[in-house]
Amino acid sequence: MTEEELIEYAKTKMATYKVPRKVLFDAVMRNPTGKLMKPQMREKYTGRKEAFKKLD
Amino acid sequence: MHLQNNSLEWIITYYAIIKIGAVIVPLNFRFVGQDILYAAKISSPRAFILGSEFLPVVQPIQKDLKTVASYICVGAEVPDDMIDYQSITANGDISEAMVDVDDQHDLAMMFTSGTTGDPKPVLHTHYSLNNTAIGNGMSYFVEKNDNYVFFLPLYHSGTMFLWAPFYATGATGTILREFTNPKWIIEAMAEEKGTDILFVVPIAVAILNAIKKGDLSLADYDLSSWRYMEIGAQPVPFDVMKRLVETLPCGCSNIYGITEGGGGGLFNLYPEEVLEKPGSIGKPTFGMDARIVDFEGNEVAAGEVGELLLKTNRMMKGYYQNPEMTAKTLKDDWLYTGDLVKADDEGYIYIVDRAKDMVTSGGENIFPVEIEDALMDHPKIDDVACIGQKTGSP
Repeated sequence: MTEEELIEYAKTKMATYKVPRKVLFDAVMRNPTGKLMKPQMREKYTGRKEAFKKLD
Repeated sequence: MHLQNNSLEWIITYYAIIKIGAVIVPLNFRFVGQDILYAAKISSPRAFILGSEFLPVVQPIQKDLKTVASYICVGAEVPDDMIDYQSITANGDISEAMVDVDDQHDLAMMFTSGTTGDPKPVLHTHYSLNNTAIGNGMSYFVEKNDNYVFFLPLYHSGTMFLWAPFYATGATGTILREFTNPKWIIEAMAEEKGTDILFVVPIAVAILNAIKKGDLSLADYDLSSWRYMEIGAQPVPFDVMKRLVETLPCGCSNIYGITEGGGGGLFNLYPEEVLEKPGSIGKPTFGMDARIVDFEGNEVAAGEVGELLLKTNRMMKGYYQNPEMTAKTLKDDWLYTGDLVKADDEGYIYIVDRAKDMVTSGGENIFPVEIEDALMDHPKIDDVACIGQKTGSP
């Protein structure tokens, strides 16, 4: 799966304004009960996003 | 403070602590030294019960845990400066503790997983845990002959909501130390004749994938005792729920809960409803009232998004020593969950998203969960998270 493939798929499933602008491939951060750790992810990815390699 | 991996001793020491009228601080297994010091600063613990597996985490900070007068260690190799748990059970007085405690007496300080900043100490009372046991015992049909297989962390309120009624009812629990692999969970259900089990989405997906790949076949096991599987702690993609219903030999239900409101199971979508109400968390369980309000506090109409408010006898007393945060969360006996939800015409509730995770783009509100749900339908996607990033322009 590529970033383009995922974005193209998203376009068929949701309104244009909801389609993700950027896709990163990495392990999703979840706590022991499976809850997404979004604040930690926001800090990790939007703070220093350049550290994460985009898959092409 | 109480820090052990899932074990029989975990439950025994939990009830021992609350029976003598002391307050328990069950710690997250993943806490590192710094997190433990943070919890200790707030809770000023007198004693620390720990599993020997946590010695490498606790020993380096012992000198900084100034309020701790005694350490009790569960395990084979107990350091000289700690009391051996086995010596207590072997030589101590094991007669029933009869300490009078008031209903409103503090019982547990549960540090939430910290979705916003530092973990918050949620204070529960004997009254709220008792009502958690009663409410969930009634809502999840717990009876004496049941056998719950626990493999998720016992310290978490998402597990407490079921061990409390199981303990109260005198039913059996099978405690697995941790999740190792999908096969092992199914083996445990068969060998122990488990009747109920709690899943979370990543584990359900791992089990479904193992079955799909042919690594695991349910036909190889006698699962005739299995009655229910509850899944929750995060929105459950409908695709996952549908596959669980098709695959598992038991009733599947979708639960919702929040530590502040008494843990898991505050809402339930029962097995006969899960395919009829895709994505719903169902309706409030026994002893639970719910309202959905807009940001001004006015009740919203069916189909409109608002914040979920709860009123229940399972609710926390407040955040320990944090009146400001408590006042923001508990208003007029209603608990403000911070979860954005909507109801359908029949009163079934649907989680839209966490208020804090909502993204605004060009004036439109976007709920990341909707996007995650849509992407999870893709066969090549196992797990996904959507977060907002400030663009700096309107």
